Amino acid sequence: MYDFYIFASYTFTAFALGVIIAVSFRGLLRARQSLAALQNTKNDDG
Amino acid sequence: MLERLENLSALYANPHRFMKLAARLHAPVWSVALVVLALGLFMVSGVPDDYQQGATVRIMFVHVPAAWMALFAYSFIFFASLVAVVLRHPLGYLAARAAAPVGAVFTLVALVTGALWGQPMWGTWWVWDARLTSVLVLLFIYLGYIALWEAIDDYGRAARATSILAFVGFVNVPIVKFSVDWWNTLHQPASVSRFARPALHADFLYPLLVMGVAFLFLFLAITLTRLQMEVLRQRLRVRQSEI
Repeated sequence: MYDFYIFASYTFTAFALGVIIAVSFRGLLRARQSLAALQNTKNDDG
Repeated sequence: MLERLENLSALYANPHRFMKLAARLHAPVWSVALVVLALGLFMVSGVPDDYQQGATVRIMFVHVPAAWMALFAYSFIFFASLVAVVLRHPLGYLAARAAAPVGAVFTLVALVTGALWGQPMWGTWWVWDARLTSVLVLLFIYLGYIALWEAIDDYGRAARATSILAFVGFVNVPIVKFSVDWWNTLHQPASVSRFARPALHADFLYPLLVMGVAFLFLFLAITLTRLQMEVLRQRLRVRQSEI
């Protein structure tokens, strides 16, 4: 009878936490790549 | 006391030293978060139906820890901003900025799961009572805080402006916490308190506390990941400005 409400609660929680986790790891990876690319450019210029 | 705090904060004021510590802590914090979450979900799967609420009591195990984390994350932002302003710790602003989207997500989860619990129990998705409204205001403060960081290009000005918002917005935290005591609300009062015997039976209390610890470690793990990202972005900004 209440299955929809319980399922929706856990699914939404998993989705929302999954999104913030994925976005955070993607941001960390991108920051590492950008910093490495900048370092390579500086090394090439030097 | 302040001197001891300054010494402690100075130890990790060097972002390079902090990044070494964060890299060492990253895997253990994530491991604890995932193991405790698995344990919590296992305990929740064995919880009996409530005599009044039936199976919907299971929503409590995500709704309540998410609401705890919504308040905890904002308190974290407040204290990180305070450390940044008072002790001039360079990581304070970055820690506050890193925690804001995580706190916003926990607040959103608390609101959505609350609505999904309210519909079968109260017969309505939403009422403008003090608890629900103050949590909605908390979400708007989080969104305003995040937007303010993005809206100002100059890092120093953005850090000062967002700190002021963090201090002003902190007024809402005790309002959320005590709204159910100060006003007549449809939302029930706190069932778990430091100062009184919990109103929950042990069958519900222990899984709830384990889920609370799991959400706390999830918050710490995600915030640590985002803080590493913020430090690298800051390093990138400095290096780009040097070119």
